[in-house]
Amino acid sequence: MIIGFYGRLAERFGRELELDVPDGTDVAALRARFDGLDAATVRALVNDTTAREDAILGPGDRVDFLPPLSGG
Amino acid sequence: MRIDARLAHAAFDPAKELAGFAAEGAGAVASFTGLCRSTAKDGATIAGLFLDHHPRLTEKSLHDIAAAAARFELSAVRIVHRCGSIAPGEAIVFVAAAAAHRRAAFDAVDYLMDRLKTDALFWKREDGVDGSAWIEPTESDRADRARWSA
Repeated sequence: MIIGFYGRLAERFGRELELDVPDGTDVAALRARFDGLDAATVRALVNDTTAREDAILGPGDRVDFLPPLSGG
Repeated sequence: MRIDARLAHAAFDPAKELAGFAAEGAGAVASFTGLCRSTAKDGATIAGLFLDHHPRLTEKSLHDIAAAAARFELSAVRIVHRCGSIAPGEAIVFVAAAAAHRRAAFDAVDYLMDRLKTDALFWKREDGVDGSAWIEPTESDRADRARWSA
C-alpha cells in the first residue's frame, strides 16, 4: 500500500511510503503506527475519498493523510 | 455560470488574469488578489512561502469551491491559486466574479476567499530567516468560513 503525506507530515515522514500491513488493518490501526496522526486534526483519504476510521485497507489502496488546510 | 479554476505552478500576473476575465453582459466584476507578505504576524522577516498541494485533489478542490459560488447570481467566476515556492510580493491567489449587479460580485469574492482559506487543499509554510513554520487555519478563518453556512 502507498501512504501519502502533505505539509508538516511530509516533512516528518516523507512524501510517500510503501508499506505492507496485516490483513484486516483499518484506517485507525494505520494511524496508530505513526506519531501525530490524530483523527481530530488529520483527515484520511482512501483512494482520494474521505474514509471512515473502520474502513478496511487492502494492498492496492492508496491512503493520504491530510493535516489542517491553509490556502488563500 | 462559467467556471475557470486553475492551479498555477509558477508566478502569474493578476492584472493579466483580470484583463482576460471576459464578462460579456455583466454589470459588475469584483476581484481580489492575495500577495505574499514580507513579514510574519510576529513581525519577523519572511524569505518566502511554500505551498504544498495534492497532485490530483487540490485543483479539484479549487473547481468545487468555484462551482459553489453558484449560490450567488454570477455569470462567471475565476480562481487562480499558486503552489510551490512564492517570493514576497508575488501573487498567491486571484479570484474574480462577474454578475449583473455589484452586491453579488462582492459577496461571491468574499465567499470564495473564505472557502479557499479553510477548504482548498493547500498546506502553507512560512520560511523565515530563523526557520520555517507551517500555518494552520485560525479561529478567525473558521469564523469567516462559518458566516456562509446558513
